[in-house]
Parts: sequence; C-alpha cells; structure tokens
Amino acid sequence: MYRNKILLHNMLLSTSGWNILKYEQDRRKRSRIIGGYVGMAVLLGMLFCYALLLSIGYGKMGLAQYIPVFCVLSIFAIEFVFTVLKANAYLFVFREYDMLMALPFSVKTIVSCKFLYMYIRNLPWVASLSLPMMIGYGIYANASISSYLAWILLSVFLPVIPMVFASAVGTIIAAIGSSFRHKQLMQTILTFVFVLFCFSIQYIGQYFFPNETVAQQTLRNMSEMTDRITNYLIPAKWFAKGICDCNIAAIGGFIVVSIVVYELFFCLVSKFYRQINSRLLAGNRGTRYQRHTLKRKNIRQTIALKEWKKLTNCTIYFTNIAIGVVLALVLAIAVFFVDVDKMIAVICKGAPIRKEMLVAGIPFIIYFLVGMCATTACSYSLEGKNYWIVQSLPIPRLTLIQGKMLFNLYFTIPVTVIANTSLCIACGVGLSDMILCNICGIILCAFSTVWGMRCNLKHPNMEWENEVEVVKQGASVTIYLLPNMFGCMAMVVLAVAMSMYLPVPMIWVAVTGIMAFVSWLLYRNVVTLCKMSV
Amino acid sequence: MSVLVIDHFSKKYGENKRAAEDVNLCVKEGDIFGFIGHNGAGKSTTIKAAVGVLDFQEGDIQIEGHSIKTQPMECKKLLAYIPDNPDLYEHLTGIQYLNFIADVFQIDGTTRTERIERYADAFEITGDLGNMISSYSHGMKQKIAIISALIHEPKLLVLDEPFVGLDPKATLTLKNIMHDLCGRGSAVFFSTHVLDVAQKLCNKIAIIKKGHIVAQGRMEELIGDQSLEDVFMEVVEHVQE
Repeated sequence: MYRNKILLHNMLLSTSGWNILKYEQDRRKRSRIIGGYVGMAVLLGMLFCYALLLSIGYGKMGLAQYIPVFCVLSIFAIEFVFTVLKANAYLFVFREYDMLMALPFSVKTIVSCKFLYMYIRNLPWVASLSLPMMIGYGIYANASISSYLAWILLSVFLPVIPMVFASAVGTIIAAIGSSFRHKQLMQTILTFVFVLFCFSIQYIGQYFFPNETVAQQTLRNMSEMTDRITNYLIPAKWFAKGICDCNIAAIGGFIVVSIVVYELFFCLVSKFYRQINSRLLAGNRGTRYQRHTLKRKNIRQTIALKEWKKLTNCTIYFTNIAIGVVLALVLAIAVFFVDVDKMIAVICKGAPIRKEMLVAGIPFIIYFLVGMCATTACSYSLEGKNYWIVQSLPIPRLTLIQGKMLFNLYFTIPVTVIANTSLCIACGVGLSDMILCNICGIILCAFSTVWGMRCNLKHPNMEWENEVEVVKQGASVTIYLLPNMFGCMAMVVLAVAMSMYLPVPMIWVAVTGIMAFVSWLLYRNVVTLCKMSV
Repeated sequence: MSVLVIDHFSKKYGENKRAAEDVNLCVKEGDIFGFIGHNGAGKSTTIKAAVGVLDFQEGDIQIEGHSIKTQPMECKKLLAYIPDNPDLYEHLTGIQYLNFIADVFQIDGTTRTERIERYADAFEITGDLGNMISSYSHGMKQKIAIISALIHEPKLLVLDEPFVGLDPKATLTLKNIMHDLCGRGSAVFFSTHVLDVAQKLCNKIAIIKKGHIVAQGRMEELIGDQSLEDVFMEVVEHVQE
C-alpha cells in the first residue's frame, strides 16, 4: 500500500503540470498548462450542464426514479468505451517501464498504479456526469440526505467496474497482439473490431426490433426497460436500490463487487504482465531485411509516408484518430446492404425522416465522421522528443507541416469520396450533384486538415510521456474537435432545413465556396505560425 | 559469496531469433564484472533479464541466492539498475525523483539527505537538483540515474553502457564509486563498448557473441600481455559460438 501511494503520487506529480507551473521558467509553457486547465474546466462545466438539463428533463417527465439507472448506465458505457481506447497505452510498454520494473515494486503494484492513475484522471468527468444527475434526482424525487450521501459515496466506485472490464479487454488485445509479428497493427485491428462491435450493439438491436421508437419506449416502457437492463447488470440495480431505497446491502454489494473485481483482475494480470510486455517490447526482431532498390521520393511525400508509418505503428493514435474514417467506410459499405430509410430510423431514434430529406446533409454527415479528428490536430505534437530529427534536417518547417497536411488529405479524401458516392447512389442523387457533393466533401477535408494543423501549431505539446496525453487529452485535439463537431452538426441541420427553400446543389456550392475561403485563410495562418519560433 | 548467478539462461524472440543461448555467469562480492560484445550480441537482453525487466523461460538468474523468477522483490531490493538510456519522470525535479527512489527503498531522512548530498556533490549536480529533469542534458540525466541507483547502497549494481554521455570527470567519479562500492562487499556488473575502460576497471570479463558467451574469466588470465581490444577482436572474429 505504501509503495502504491508513492508511485501513484509521483505519476500524478510528473504529469499534472504542477511542476511546470512551479519550476518552469518559460512563460509560454506555464500559460499552456493554465490554458489546458481552463479548457478542461469549461468542458467539465458543459458536461455538468448537459447532464443537469437531461436529469431535469427526466424529472419533468415524471421519470425521476430512473435517473440513478440512467446515470450508472451512461457512466458504465462511457468509461468502458473510452478506457478500451486508451488502456493499452497506459498499461503496457510505457516509457518508464524498464525503470519501474527494476525497482522493488511488485508487478501488481505497477499495473494497479497505472490503472489508478487512469481512474483518478477520469474522476472529474465521472463527477461532472454523476453530480448533476444527483441534483436532478434530488429535486424531483425529494431525496433524503442519506440518498445524497449514498450517491456521492457510490460515485467514487462507479467507474471501477467498467474500467476494469475495459482494461481486461485491453489486456486480452495486448496478449493476442503480442503473439503476432506486426504487434501494433494487430492490436489496432482488434481494438477497432471490438469498438465497432460495441457501437453496433445498440443499432443491431434497434434494427431488428424497430416497432417502437426509443422516445415512445422511454415514456411507456421505462420501467420494463430498466428492469430488463438491471436484471443483466446487477451492479446497476444495486446502485439504483442503494440510492432510491437507501438499501445498505445494495450499497455494500456495489462497493464490495467493485473492489473484488479490481483485486481479481490485477492478481490475474500481474501473472502474465511481464510476459506480455517482454513480447511486446521484442518488436519484430524475427524479420530479416531483404535488399531491394530504394526509390527517391519528394520531401512532402516522404513526410506523409512517415506519418502513415507512425499512424499504423501506434495503436492509441490509430484507434482514436481513425475511428471516424473507419466508421465512414463502414457506412459506405452498409448502405449497399441495408435500406437507408431503415438506417435513418435506427440512428434518428425513429424520427419521421426520409432519405430524400437528408440528401442536402450528405457531405456534412460524412464529414462529421471523417473529420471527427484530423491527424494534423496531433501529428506535430507526436513528434515529441524525436522532433530533433526533422529539426536538424535541411527541411523548412513549412515543408514538414505541408507533408503532415498532405498525409491527412491522403487519409481522408479517398474515404470521403467513397462514402459520399455510395450514400449519393443509395439516396438516388444524380451524377452532376454527386460530383458537387464530392467537391464539397473534399473542401471540407481540406478545412479539417488546416484547422487541425492550426490548432496543433498553436497548442503544441512536445514534452509528453505517453501518447495518450497528446491524442486523448491534448489541448489541440480538444480545440479542434469541439467546434468542428458542433459546427458540423449545425451544418447538417441547416443544410436540411435550407433544402426546403433552396436547391440542394446551390447549398453545396455556397458551402464549398465559403469553406474554401476559410481554409485558405487558415492555411495563411498556418504559414505564419510556421515562420514563428517553436 | 556469489552475488549474481546466471545459470543456463536462454532467451528467444519469436520462433527463430535467439538473443541469448545458454548463458552462464557468476559475479562475486567485490567483482567489477565487464560484459562486452557487439551491438545486438545479447548484452542488454541478459542484463534486462537479470534485473527482472524481461521475462524468460529457460534457465535461472539468482541474486544472493534469490531467484529473479520466483522472488523478484527480494532480488530488486538488493540491486540497482541503470539502463543505457534512462527514461526518468521528466516532469519531476531531480530532488523529487531522488526522493521518490529513496521512498521506494524506504531510506530514512538523514541517510538519504547525506547520500544525495555526497553523490550530487561528487557529480557536481547539486545546484541543478531543483530543476525539472526535462531541462537536463543526457549526461545530467545519467548522473541522476546513477545517484538514484546508489541511494540504497545496492549489493549489486547493474549498468548498461554507463559511461555514454558522462563527462571525463563524472566518468572518473563513477569509476571511483564502483571501486568504493566493491570494496564494501557489493558487486558491479556492467556492459560497455569502451574496452580501455573495461580493461582498467574490471577484474572479470565476459565476451558475448550472437547470444553465446565465447570467453569469460579473470581479466589478467584472459588477456595475458595483450590488450583487451586485441583479445576481443580475436575472440569475436575466430571463435565459433
């Protein structure tokens, strides 16, 4: 326990930014840390407000008693998916692995501290979902003080079970991947398959049982639905019972199960931990290089190729950045096998929307997926300590940046064209409109590329200790992601609404023109940023 | 008494590549044992297995009679390891990092203060202990790693290429510390490519080639009146593993 405490303390101290604020002389670095914390506080505040409004909505509909189940299910789902996407990078082959393994820490201490580090970093997000729901529940269910206390106590344990299961999935993926020659690629593929499976469970269910919309179910069958879910997910039932009935046994059960699951997992994983890491660290040493003629390439193409190698050799990078691109490809293939109207019904929860109404939104729907995150939003930061390599080469900074942007275009444009074309075909869009749709999509990819690059150049982080800090927690990715996501959602709604008054091609041409101009402005800004010192 | 015993240790990567094959070594109290070989010969693999970083199936490695496989905690309490390129917690200050290591080994306040002061002064890094490790040069990071390894006065000091990045004065300081440590009953096991240093510093040596130990023994017996460089070249060129 003592060693757990000191290891965890030092992990947090080393990555919290506190030392940078205290000891760093460079004001820019200190400002970046403060900016990061302010940005995080804003996001937490937004999530808090969203969860509060949601729980008030439930309360006003007379469904306050279901808020605890909704809370536990939301947190379970979010924590599970997000932990799966980062568990491998945190638990295996981290930078200081050799140093820690040679110190007198038990394997269980090291791996459990890595988990607890993830858990502590997740707690503010859990709190910003759980506490507003507690407030909503408290107001509409006239909760007693003991309900509030139980909720606060159980909130601390809420993320443990999903995080442990997600870590178990991550461990299984690492163990399987470590047996292959291309370990990283195999882990990436397995993670993708698993995440796509998780995403599709809900939609597969709704596709096969489309009779009632979720909205109708919410109102009519909420009790039946929650009963059904909690029958399978016993801890959710205990959480709800613990809150609603102040049932001590249920509260105790939830806490005990969380601790037992945690202990069991780490006892088990510590038996194989060194073996898995040794295999992962071994790399592809069995490979024997075969001589062949090497070709000369353009500098930007070379940098773009280097980006591709980086992307495919880093599971955390690929799974987080390419998820939208993969989803767009899945959508492009799915529309040939599944009726688009049925698909819309599933995604839009049964809202009365037909495919003809959505035609105007096609390029934005595809962009929502493809542009979910651009490689450029983190590729500059990901150079990290290797930045000296490109810095010391006779390459102007702008050329390096152009190479990185070129890669994002290579990566997103083909998928955008494929997805736009297949969706246009499925929706019966004519050839000329299809071409316009694709031009609009390509311009949106260009926008995404330069916007991502600008965010990364403005908020670089070269001193990371784990890729997760850049890819999942980086300021540049967050600043890229949120306006882009909400802007894109607004564009879908706006385009669909405007298509009732204006011809669809006109909307696409107007958006193409505006976005091309914005992209050009951003590119100019990127060029200016490249000329400034790092 | 034997401090480190490597007994029929083998390690293979994948199906074909054997990084170490039937390695047998014995490092006794007071030994400064040099481990030399080409790049990729299996030095780091053997060292990492000896300190419990790398998993292995064949053979056993013991530190003062404790097996690194079955009693890793006992072994790690006795040893200190400095990798060739130490990855320290970059955003800790030097003193925070040294305190962290002292906490891990549960060294009391007075002892840790005295030892940190002594070694930091010897390596002329005292003034920089309050700065973040990320601001250090490679050599300074190496010095911090060395000081952290000495805090608990290990029975076995294992170093992978310890002289890379150190300035001449720090190199001399480290050599003196090694002698001092061995004079007090500990042992030092290190890999190096600097054969001159190995010849002057070590009393025992082992040469590894493609995962096999091709020569080992007391320095004077192994090299006779030749230089270690000549012996090394002769051994790696002509001896069949």
